[in-house]
This record gives sequence, structure tokens and C-alpha cells, in this order.
Amino acid sequence: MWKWTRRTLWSLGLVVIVAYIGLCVWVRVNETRLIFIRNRPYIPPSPSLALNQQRVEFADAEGTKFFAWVVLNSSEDTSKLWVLFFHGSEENVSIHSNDYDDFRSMGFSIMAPEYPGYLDSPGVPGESILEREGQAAYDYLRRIKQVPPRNIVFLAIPLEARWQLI
Amino acid sequence: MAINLASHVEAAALIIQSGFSSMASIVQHELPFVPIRLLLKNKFESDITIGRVNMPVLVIHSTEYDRFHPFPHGQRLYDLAPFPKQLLRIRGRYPQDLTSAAVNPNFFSEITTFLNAHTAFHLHQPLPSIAPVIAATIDSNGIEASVAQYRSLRTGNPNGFNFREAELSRLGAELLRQKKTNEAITVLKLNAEQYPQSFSVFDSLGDAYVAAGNTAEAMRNYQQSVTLFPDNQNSSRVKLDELQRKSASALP
Repeated sequence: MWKWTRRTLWSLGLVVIVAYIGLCVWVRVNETRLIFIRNRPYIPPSPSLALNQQRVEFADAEGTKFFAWVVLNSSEDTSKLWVLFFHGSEENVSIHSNDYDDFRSMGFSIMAPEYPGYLDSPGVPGESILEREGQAAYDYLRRIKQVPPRNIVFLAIPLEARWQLI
Repeated sequence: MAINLASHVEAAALIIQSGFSSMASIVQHELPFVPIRLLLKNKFESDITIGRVNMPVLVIHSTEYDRFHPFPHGQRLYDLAPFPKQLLRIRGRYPQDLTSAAVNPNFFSEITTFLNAHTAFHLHQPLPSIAPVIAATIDSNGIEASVAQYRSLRTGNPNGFNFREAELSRLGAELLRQKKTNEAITVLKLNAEQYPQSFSVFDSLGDAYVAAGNTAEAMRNYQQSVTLFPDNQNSSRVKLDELQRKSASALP
């Protein structure tokens, strides 16, 4: 009797250990897919917004190319103010057209970088490359657009994660 | 990413909307027995980097339940941020709610006030959205009165409110969430009348008709949306296909 009980307990323990290791492997393998949810479709801005977004390309110090939407403020006196707009990980650059319009109405121009692997941006997203992209976008505003730091606002809609197992 | 960037470059301000303190803390909540800190490659440790930020910080976070954006994360980021800083508590259960004037009417005016107070900017206060005005009239005098009010304000005071397409779309979505389906349909029909070239307006109207159980009108509006934006990525196309499939299978 005791022999059977011991064998059952050992089997159960083994199952728990294998399941636990499997869960750890699952987390490791699926991490990128669970953090960077890239299935949202492109949504064109409503024509009534007259957003006139431009697609600009820029690169980091290692030569990796990125793109961003740039929405310019039409008012000349305030066009030097910029929002560097980082969308959430379950979104893409086209989702926030109305928000760009709101910031534009406040007096800002907007630069919204798209992340690698989103829409038609090549590559795979990850913390390291996103940090390089953020720096490259900032450098673009500073060097190409000649925007002083005191005129730049960062807007962060941080990354999301869908980790539920069921 | 933006918090990390703000921790080592100069800028006027940092606005964090629905932030979390670290990726590990979010995942640990879902998988409490897994050594997440050891496993994660993407750590996004905002709770560490926020302390190094050297600019005014505005933390915006919904107080309503959100499994993946719990309010304590926003509170923790605010607590760890250096001064000057402000915590803006808002409503909303979904990302699209946060900037909706139907849910948070003062969202952008609060941002404007914060930036004007803590930077050298002299920003324009955004026009108030028409959505809360219409929502209040629906509650007090009914949907017909609100439609009449919209038409009257749109012609009589066109620069007094923001009449953008998104205002009524978001109000319609909010009414649908409140199960006020007939009011939502009326509001979205009014929006479609104002913006007949917008595919998304007809998509929203189709959703409202689905909620009302009116398949024929839903299909008609999804079809109009697809006509205006034929791209495969238009979600109306998928919804229309689904309704057509259901209609076909329901035939004897």
C-alpha cells in the first residue's frame, strides 16, 4: 500500500515539475508575441481631420531604419513645439489619428514612430531596438528639425502584455 | 521606452498614459509561481528609470478596473517620479475610452493646463467636445432633443465646440456600452449624415445595428463602409462576411 502511495506521489511530483518547466519554456518562447501584439489593422485617418500626415524615415547609430508619421501644425507661431508620441504595444501608428489632431489643435506638431514589426515596418520588436528607435526619433527632431529640447514633450502609452493563459 | 529616453535626454515634459512599473510586475501578477525576473528578456523597468527623469512628469491613469493596467501601477510611477509631477485620475476600462470626451471630457484641457503650468508653453485650450453636451441632453430631455440641439449648435455656434467625427462616434460607443442601443443608433446616424465619406462612421453604425439585432441594416452599413474603404484591413469586411454567412446558414 505504502509502495503504491509513494509511487503515485513521485509521479504527481514529476508531472508538476515537467509542467512547471514547460510553463517557463512557454514564457520564454512566447514573450515577444505576448508583449508586442501586432494584429491591429491599419486605420486611415478620417478625411475630415485633414491630418496630412507625412511618412518620414530615420535611422539609429547602427544604421537600422525606422519610420514615423509626422503631423505638422499649420500655425507658424507654434509649429516649433513637438510631441514625440509613442503608441502602445497593442496598437500601431495609425490608431491615434484623433489624438494627433487634439495635440495639433493645442499647438503641437507630432512625430509618432512606428515600431519594428508593426504595419509595414520590417524587423522584430524588442526592448533594446525600441530604445534605440526612441533615441533616433529624438535625434531626428533635434538635428533634422532643429527643435530645442525645451520644445519637445514625450508622450508614452506604455507597452501592454496579454499574459493570461486561458 | 519613452520613460527610458526621458531619463537620459533633455525635454520639456513627460506624459505617461496607463503606465506600469515594470513588465515583470505585470506578468508576475498573472503567473505568480514563475521566476519571471529571470526569464524575461524585455524588462521595461520603468520603476527604476522614472527616478532618473529630469523634467515635469504627468501620470495619467484610469481608476477603473483594468487587469492589464491596474491603477496602483500609475500611482507607483507617480510616487517614484521626481518633482514637479502630477497624477491625473481618469475613467475608462478600455484604451479607446481614455481620450474619449464622452468618458473623460477634460482629458486634453488637463494636459494643456499641466504643460502651461510647468513649461514655457502658452498652449491653446482645446475646444470643448460636443459629446458631453449631447450626452447630458440625452439624459435630461431625450434623444430627439439632443439631435435638435446638435443641429442648432452646429449651425449657430460652429466654432464653440469640437464637432469632429470622433466626438459622436465615441459617444455612440459609450451609449452602446451603457446598453442605450436606440440612442446610440440615432447618434451614429446623425454622425453618418454629417460625415458621409467616413468608412469608420458606417462601421460604428453597423455595430450598433448588430447590437439592436437588426442584421439587414447592419449589413447595409458595413457594405457602405467597405465601399468607402475597400482595403482588406477594413474590419467591416470581416463583419459583413460573418453576417452574410450567418444569414445564408439561417435560410431553410
